Amino acid sequence: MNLPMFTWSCVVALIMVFMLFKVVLFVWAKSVENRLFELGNEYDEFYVPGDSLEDED
Amino acid sequence: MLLQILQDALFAAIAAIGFSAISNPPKRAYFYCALLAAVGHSLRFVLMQAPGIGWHIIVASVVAAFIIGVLAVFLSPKVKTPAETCLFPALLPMIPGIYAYKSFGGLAMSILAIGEESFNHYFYLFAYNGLTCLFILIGMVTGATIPIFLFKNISFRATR
Amino acid sequence: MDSTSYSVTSKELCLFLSRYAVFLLGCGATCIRLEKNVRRMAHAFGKDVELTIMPRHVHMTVYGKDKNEMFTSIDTVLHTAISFDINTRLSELSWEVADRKIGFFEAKERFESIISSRSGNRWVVLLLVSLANASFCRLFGGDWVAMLMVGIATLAGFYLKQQLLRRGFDARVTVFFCAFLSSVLGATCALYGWGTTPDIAIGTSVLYLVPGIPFLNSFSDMIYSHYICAFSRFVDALILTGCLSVGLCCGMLLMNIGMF
Repeated sequence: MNLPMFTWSCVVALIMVFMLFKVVLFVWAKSVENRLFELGNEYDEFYVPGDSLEDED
Repeated sequence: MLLQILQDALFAAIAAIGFSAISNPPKRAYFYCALLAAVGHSLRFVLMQAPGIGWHIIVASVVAAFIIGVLAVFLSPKVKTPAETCLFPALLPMIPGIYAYKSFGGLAMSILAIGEESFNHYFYLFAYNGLTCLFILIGMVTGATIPIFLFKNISFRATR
Repeated sequence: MDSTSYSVTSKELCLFLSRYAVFLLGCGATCIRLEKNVRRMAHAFGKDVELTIMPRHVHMTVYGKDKNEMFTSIDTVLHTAISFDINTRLSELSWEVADRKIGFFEAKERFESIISSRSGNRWVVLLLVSLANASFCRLFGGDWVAMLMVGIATLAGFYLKQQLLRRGFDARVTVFFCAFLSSVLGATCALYGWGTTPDIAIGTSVLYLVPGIPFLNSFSDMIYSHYICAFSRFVDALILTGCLSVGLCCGMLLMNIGMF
């Protein structure tokens, strides 16, 4: 493969990889927003006096 | 010829809208930038290419810039922007970008050249492209600024 | 308190006008516009002002009538993106102050809201610039294939420019990489033998990087005798064009295409 073709292929490949990366990130971010199942905190369900609440200093 | 002129005007208008978008003009100025660029660039095209006229690019650019300047000064109170907000983006399609980087290319090649003849050739290209670019720019800005001087009261009160 | 009747001190006015000046200069206004706007506002508040406009600093003295009180400040010019929108709105503000429509405190508030306003949609600008450069290719005689390749090259190059500048990269390095990228993509026509005008495609693929407004501003300053600012802006623009040329040359060298 000659130099011009090699250079062009490298540049285009980098662009493709970058676009793929952006698409994957975008799709992953979307899927994180609409989770069906999620790990929660037991304090969301049960409150025991003496537990520290997030909004108390 | 008319078709070529209209085509030139259309593409100059699109180019002006796009390049002016880089410098964030007010939204109401886009249309006027496009209009001024279309008029100016097609006028320069006519002055350079029309049979019987055939002016040099520098002279044609000065005249075209002057006409753009006059139009910009009279349109600026309607658009409520300073004259240069519509004027400078409209001049962008006429900026001699190719001359600019060809002159740098010529300079680089002349430094790397071996032998007097080769050096002279590339130095000529550097000087020719560089001087043409410089004088087109000076001519354009001078041509565009003269109307601002002439119609001082209008141009510096446009945003009032 | 009715701010239009408030008697502003030289110090308050100087600090405000100094900040106004550096923002106006930073967003790409010419020196003459800055001078006129600042003088107009100073006279509206019954003061006089003298400015020294340097490439990276503005040196301002505001003094009351009879020069009994005066205040001097030096401020650094900010490197913000060129924005004719902010330029226009700051000029409008100066007229509103001059016409006594607003007072000092309201002027300060309006100023702060103007300079913190966000610029337009990035994606729209990207699309418009790509179309513009493709049109430019047509203006230089390129065919439709060349226009398409130039549009794609500009899309990639301008996107890279937006991303690098957002991350605080130096403008010169940015221009170099963008020129290289655009020239390699623009050389696709020459590489695969598409279309009839591959040379024009390469030549026009980098034109969106040419610093047109700085060149125009520098000559405009020269006409109004602000030679130091004119020279400084000219050298800035020249260096950016130099970086563009180096990027283009590297691209053309690797793609085995001669410039002459």
